[in-house]
Amino acid sequence: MDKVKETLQKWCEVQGIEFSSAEAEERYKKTVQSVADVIQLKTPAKIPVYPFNGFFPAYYAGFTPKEVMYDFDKAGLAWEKYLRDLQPDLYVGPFIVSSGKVLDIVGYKIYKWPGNGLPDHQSYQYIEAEYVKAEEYDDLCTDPTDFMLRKYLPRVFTSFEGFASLPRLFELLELPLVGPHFIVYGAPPVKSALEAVIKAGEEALRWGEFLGSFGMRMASLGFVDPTAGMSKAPFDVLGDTFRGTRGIMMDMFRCPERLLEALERITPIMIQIGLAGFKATGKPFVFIPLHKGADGFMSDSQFKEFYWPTLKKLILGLVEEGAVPFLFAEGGYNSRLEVIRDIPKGTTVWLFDETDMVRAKEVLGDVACIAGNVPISLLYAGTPEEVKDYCKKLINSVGKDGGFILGSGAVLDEAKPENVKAMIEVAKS
Amino acid sequence: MRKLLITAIAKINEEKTLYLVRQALEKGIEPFTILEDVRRGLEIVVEMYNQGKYFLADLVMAAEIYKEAQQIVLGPPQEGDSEGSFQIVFGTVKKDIHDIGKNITIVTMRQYGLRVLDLGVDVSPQMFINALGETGASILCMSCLISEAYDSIKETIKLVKKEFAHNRPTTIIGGRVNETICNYTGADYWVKSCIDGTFLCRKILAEHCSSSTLNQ
Repeated sequence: MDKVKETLQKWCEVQGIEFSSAEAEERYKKTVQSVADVIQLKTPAKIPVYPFNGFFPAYYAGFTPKEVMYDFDKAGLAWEKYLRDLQPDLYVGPFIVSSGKVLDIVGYKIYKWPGNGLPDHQSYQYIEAEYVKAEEYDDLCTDPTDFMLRKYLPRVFTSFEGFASLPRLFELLELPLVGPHFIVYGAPPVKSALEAVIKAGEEALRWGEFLGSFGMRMASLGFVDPTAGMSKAPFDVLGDTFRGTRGIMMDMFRCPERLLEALERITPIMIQIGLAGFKATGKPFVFIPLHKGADGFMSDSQFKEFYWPTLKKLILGLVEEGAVPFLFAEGGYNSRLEVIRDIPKGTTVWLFDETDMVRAKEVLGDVACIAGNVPISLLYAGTPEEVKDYCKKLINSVGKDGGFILGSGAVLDEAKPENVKAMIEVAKS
Repeated sequence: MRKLLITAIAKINEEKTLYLVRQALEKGIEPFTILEDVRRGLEIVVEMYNQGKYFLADLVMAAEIYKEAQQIVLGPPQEGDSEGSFQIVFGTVKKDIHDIGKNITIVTMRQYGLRVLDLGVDVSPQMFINALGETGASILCMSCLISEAYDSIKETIKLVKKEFAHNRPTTIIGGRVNETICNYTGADYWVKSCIDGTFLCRKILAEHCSSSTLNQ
């Protein structure tokens, strides 16, 4: 908890940014201070507004999702136009749209995106399936990284099929083992997989350089991207892209012990993944999208047994190092509020989607900052007046005494610009 | 024994259910009777879900147990099994490939004896129209989880209204939708859960049935 305080203090000192103007500097400093205040449950000078954008800047600037995924200059133009025109305090950087070229090189099979199976004007989508079988929990638990390298990667990336024939890296222990270990690397399937790694690396590096310089430039204009990295609740790691919803739900009934063991096994890894970005950037937020623990997915007792213990460990592991978990509770979280209360005070942000915000404030108000929950449907199909009314009511009921960030309840892709503008303006008044 | 079987599935006890199904078969109980008991157990699960006492995880597991029981009793499903004419055409709309919610709803509907044609995901307005034309179904259910696909619902409904001036099928939407999206797209109804959707369809079909009887 003290570490989080330190992180926020340092963040508010704002070092290493050359601002383009005195206004930009004032704006940036005011935003980071307000965010630091609301995280620590204080009343801010201004309620921060965080339209939790996905592809919205692309649509807004007249680009297709395909264009911004495949041409990062266009992504830069789109994001800059969105920020300059609509002036949100906080934004999600263009990293969120990923690099179509990198995805193509590695042949990522478990998503569709514009340019790969979807039309140009659509956002990417996950193809849910059982990519890991229940019988494989033992393998996964024995050595998660080895499982990832030699079992999972060959399944989900066309270009990495060759990795299935790799020997275990762990055998590189003694001189007599070194020579034999490398034989297979010379064989065509592994060679072509390694070539793809290099090609993807070169492309990703160019993209990464763009992201870095773009972020700096937007900061110099006074816009704050608070996200340092990402992690996931261990239950969602297994329930999303490994076992799938159906698979993990059956595992709770059929092999609860093995599921619990796997959840525990991957938790320290998920903490380290979240901390990597935080340590590299010093920005506070580690983004954690929450999926399978929402209302209706499982019972209270299942939530307490399977979902929450390792999510709590993840939160504590991040907080202990000074990072601020930014938890995006997609769907409803009404039945979980009392359980998730059990976290250190003033160290987390919970972005709520369809959760009753008044009750969320009642239950969590003295321990955590809450954010959201302007409905995407309202931003898409409503009028600016309806959006303003909604936001004003939200601020009056849960926002005016601090501990609150105004924003969309879910990821913002297509929406009416005038509605997004209305949401941003309410927070200014 | 029969009560035991119903209770076993209602309590989502896979091992016990399948054991009892095998025992019943050995004792020479009619396959149809066994499956009817399993179905009744499943109905209790759905009812408990409806009351908020069971959750999606329970529904998924119970449906799986049902499927397994069915395989024990009837053997593996045969290609081309005909269930009679379809009453409902169901799909996830164009641009959207989410299928979990749709699948769970279809399983629930089928448990309640509704005949549903599943068109899958990313279904274009024209594909919906074709299926409605071919089946003569009186209800169209559309699932949609992403805002980019709201216009796919709107287009489909526009086309339904144009193509079926008489005997227009009732349109129902579910997923990440609400009253606003229902009005925006022109759908007849929106539903929040698979149970709401199932009960609504049953009500519509019952009304449809009595009105067509009256017309005769």
